[in-house]
Order: sequence, then structure tokens, then C-alpha cells
Amino acid sequence: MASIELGAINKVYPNGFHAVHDLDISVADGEFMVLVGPSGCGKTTALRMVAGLEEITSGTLRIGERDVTTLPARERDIAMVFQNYALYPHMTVGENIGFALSIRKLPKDEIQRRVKEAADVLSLTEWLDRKPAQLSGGQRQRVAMGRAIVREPAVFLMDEPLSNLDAKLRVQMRAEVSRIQRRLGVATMYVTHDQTEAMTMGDRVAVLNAGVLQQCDRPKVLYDSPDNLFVAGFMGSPAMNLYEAAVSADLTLLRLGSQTLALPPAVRAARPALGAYADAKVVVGMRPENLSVAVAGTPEGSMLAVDTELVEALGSEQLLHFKLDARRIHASGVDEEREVGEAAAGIGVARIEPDGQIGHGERVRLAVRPELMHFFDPASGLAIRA
Amino acid sequence: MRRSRLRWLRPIGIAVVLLWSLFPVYWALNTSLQTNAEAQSNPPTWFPTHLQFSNYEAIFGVGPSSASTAGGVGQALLNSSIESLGATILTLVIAVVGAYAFARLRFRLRGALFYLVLATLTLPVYATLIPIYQILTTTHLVNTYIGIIFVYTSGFLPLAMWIMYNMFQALPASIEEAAAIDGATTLQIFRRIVLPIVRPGMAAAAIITFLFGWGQFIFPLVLSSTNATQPLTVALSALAGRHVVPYTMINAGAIVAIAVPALIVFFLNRFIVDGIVAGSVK
Repeated sequence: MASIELGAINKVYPNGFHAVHDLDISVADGEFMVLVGPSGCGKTTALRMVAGLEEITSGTLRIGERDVTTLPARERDIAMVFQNYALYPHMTVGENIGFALSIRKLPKDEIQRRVKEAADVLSLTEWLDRKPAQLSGGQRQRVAMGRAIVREPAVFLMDEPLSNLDAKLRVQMRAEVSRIQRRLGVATMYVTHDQTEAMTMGDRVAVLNAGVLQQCDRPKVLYDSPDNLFVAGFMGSPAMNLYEAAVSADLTLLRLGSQTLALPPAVRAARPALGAYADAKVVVGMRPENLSVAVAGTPEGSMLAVDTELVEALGSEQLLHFKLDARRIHASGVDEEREVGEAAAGIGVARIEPDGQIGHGERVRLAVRPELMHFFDPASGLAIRA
Repeated sequence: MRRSRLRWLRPIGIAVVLLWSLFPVYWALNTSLQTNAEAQSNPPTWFPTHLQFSNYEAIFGVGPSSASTAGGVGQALLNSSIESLGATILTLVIAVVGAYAFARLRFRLRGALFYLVLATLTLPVYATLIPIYQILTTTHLVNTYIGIIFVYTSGFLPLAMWIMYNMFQALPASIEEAAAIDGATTLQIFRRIVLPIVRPGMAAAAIITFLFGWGQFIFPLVLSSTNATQPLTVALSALAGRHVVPYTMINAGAIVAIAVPALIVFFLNRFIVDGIVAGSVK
């Protein structure tokens, strides 16, 4: 067991593509670190560099006390779970799990004992003599896990290990992977493009975009105080509603399209940097759950009138898709397909009570909680806080 | 609708094709079991009336009827086996290692070289006959097993390599990466992971190469002028004398020559199909 230390790691491919920029991440012993980002953000490349499957262009990589920057994969004492599981098709489940041990020439009975143990943990005992082709997707996934845990490696690396499973199984395996990781207490780097997996599994989450680390913190911190527009837009589903707004000269009002919100003194006080934006544009972010249907007595300055586009009843809540006459901001790289259309239309989402009856096309007044709003600099995309 | 109405055509079509391809084989078998007189009778003898194996005895040089021209078939059978097997082994070794390099290693001109190798498949082989003869003469490899084996290998390698290349292409790189992470060295990965997985392809390449080698005629005819290295195909044609053509013996030899590939295909065709299909269907 050991920690993982990435120091200013870069990856530049021979064709000049700079996949990972100065990546600094440290994973403490026993910690579950999730690398998340849209496809092509460099998260898998980063993981493969830690694994030793991809050469590190510059920077240093330490596992425990050792500098492993230039060591081949087999000498790094790591175990990896691949997206496609990469099971050995000609070997039985037992042989797959025990392969690493047989390479290390451990005695047969010890291999058997440890394979059996791993199989017990993963409920694979009755499948030990099967070939991978005879297993279901979930079972194959567990064999891949078994191959990793039987080694008792210094660190675990997982490359989107759940993305080939169907939705229900994925939720189940998500919990199982977390459970096994906590039980073994091995430092883990877990790559995913799914922000739900990142939120639920990670002790900490590193958000990457275009090869650059955006923010690395506990999921709750990423969610509640994103450092920039990208993190704000990426973490959370449905995504944060981001609109362009203008701050009044005296910093007391916020103009979104044709509507005006009050900017209470407490909100300004909590974000002193906002003072620099008098009579200037900002991006405001509102989480869908911080918008609600306004009730009688909601102050005039904390309501937005919107047109309902679509209501999705999910049982426990309703998702109200609305149109607001303000410019929707598109955080680059986040969920491209959907975002482009919405940017033009100013569409947003509110997460509201399940029992309200709201018809399509209806004009609704949504209550806004200014103290929970996020502010970003429109040019740099950075959060406006202290 | 359309399909069911025409379904009766299918067995007929199959029967026609089978008759077309199997009748000559039957005729060779039929003739090989007859005496010369029966074989040349008119109307022809459709079925051997009394089984007799004197032709087989003759070509292998046993029994009373062995002629002076015959008896070399045993040696020729051995030659065919050595040359085909030798070529198969050499081809397979080079094809596996070479195809793996083409499929996995990144080096300059990799694509160009691979296509160059494949392009040799399109060469009319007889165009190379004279140059090859000259090369073997200069290197003193005419009338040797090694010479024939080299020539066969150069001819069959591209196809075998292509089969193996497809096998390696179909093998996800992550399987080898997983093995590397599991602690295996490059050699261990190749021996314990890669080779066992591509075994069906190796079997297919081996069988196809062997069958090709077994059926060669022109090249060994030109490149081996003595009984010591002539394969069965050449030796059989040599049975035909200037004045007498011993049809019964030639056909007995032909049946022997057919028997080997027929048995291989009969028992091993599963590997041929698996190996060729393996690259295309995941």
C-alpha cells in the first residue's frame, strides 16, 4: 500500500498533440481518487501514464517512496481494471485471477488459496472453472476486479470499469467497487466520464478538461463551490444553469435579460471580489435544486419569470425545463451536443416539488436563492469569490 | 415466399457441384483398383468388379507386379512430407513473428513494408520460376530439401502472414497490457497470452500452407530433377513412360496423393474456418 504522487506530468504525442498539461495530483494511501472529464480530456492518458502503459513526456511519478517515472508497468506494483476488462480469453476465471501470482512463481497452493479468497469476496467461487466467454458482463467485470485485488498491489487503477454495464448493474457495481476499495484500503485512481460516478465514489475528484486539471477536491466542495465555469457546468445532473448577467453600478442589482434580481448585501459580503464588477458583466450559476416555484410572499427581487418548455415527472421530483430571456452560457467542453442548442434558446432546468401541476407553455415565476448563486468572470471563467 | 418455392433447387445445386468435383476423384479411385485391361475397356468399367491392390503394391515397390519405373512413390511420399512440413514450420515461425511485429510495433515504413509483402500475392508465380531457378543454382540448392522449402516458404509466407496479422489485429492491445501490469515480461506475454489466443489462426495458416506445399508441381518439377527430392506430384507424372502410360498405377498414386490433404481437411477443417473467420467477427 502506498500513495501516488504525480508531479508536473506532461504527455506530448509524437504528432505534437499535448494531451496532459503539468498535471499535479497526489492520492493519499487508501484514498479513492476519481479522474473525471469529458471524452478526450486526457484522463485515460493520465491513468495510462501512471500504469506505465504510456511514456511520461516530462514530470515525475512516485508510488510510495519510489520514483517510478521510467519503470516498466510490470515493476510498478500496480493493478489495473480495463474498460473492456481485458480478460485472458483462453484461461478460466481462476487462471485469469491467478495469472499475476503464477508469473511471480508463487507456490500452487498459495495461488489457489488467494484466488479462492478473491473469488469469495466477489461471489465468483462457482464460476472459477468457466471461461470468460461464458460469463455475463457483470461477472466479467468482477473477474477483472478479482485479477486486481488478488495481487494485493500498492495501488489500483481503474479505467471506466463500469461503462460497459447496463444502467442497473452499474449502480450495483458502483457500490461494490467502493465497498471493496474501502475494505482493502488501497490508493485508487478511477477514471470515468460519468459525473455521478465521480460524485458518489470518490473521496476526492479531479476534474480535467483539455488535458488541464480544473479542480481537485472533495465531491461536495466541487459541487458547492466550483472554481470555474467548466467544473460548474460539468458536475451535477441536470447541469447548473449558467446565464450572462449585468451587475448594476451600485452593486445592488443583477440584470438577467429583461429581468432584475436584487443582490442582497450578504451575498456581496460573501463574495468581496464581486465589487470589481460594478457596471460589468458576470456569469451567474443557479443549481436546478435552488430554483423553486415562487409562493405568495416571495420578494419581488428574487423571482424570475420563465416559460415552461417541458415538465419531466420523475416521481420524487419534477424537472421543469424552462426558457429564460437571458443569454445562456455554454461552458466549453461540457456535454457539447445538448449545450449548443440551449445556449441559443436560454433554456434552463429547475428541480421542483413532485406534486405541482404545471402545464407546458405556462408562464411560471421561479424563486431564486441569491445566497446560493454562483458568480463567474465571463472572460476567464473563474469563480468570483474572495 | 420466394425462398420456400425455390428451396428444392438447393439440394440439386449441391449435388451438381459435388458430382462435378468428386467424380474425377471417384474415377481415379475406380481406375486404381482395376487391371490395365479393365481400365482401357470400352465401354468403361464404372465399378471395380473384383478388388485388387496390385497397383498400390506396384507403386510402393512391393509384390510381384512392381515394374522398374515404379517403387519411387514411397520416397516421393516422404519427400512431399518433408518439403511440405518443412515449409509449413518455417512459414509459420516467420509469419507469426513477422505479423506480430507488423501488428504491434511502430517503426518507419511499417505500412509500406506490409503492403509490399502482401503485394507479392498478386505476382504471377510462374514469372518468378526462372529467377528462382537461377538463384538456387548459384546457391547450390537445386535438388535439395532446403532449396524447395525456401522457395515454398517465400511463396506461402504472405498469405500466412496476412492470416496471422488479422489475428493479432483482432486481439485487443489491452489484453497484453493487462498481462504487462500483471508482471509478465514481453516474452512471457507472447508465449503465455498471445500465442494461445491466436492458436486457431496458426492452425489455419499451417494447414493452408501444408496443403499448398503438398499440391505444388511446376516448381519442384523444375527445381528437383532427381528421385531423391522429387515430391509425389512430380514422381507420378514421371510414371508415364514414352510409350506406355500406366493409368492404373498413376491413379493409385493420385489417390495416395489426395488421401493426405483429404484427411487433413476432413479432420481439421474446423481450424481452417475458425482461423480465417477469427479476424472478421469479434
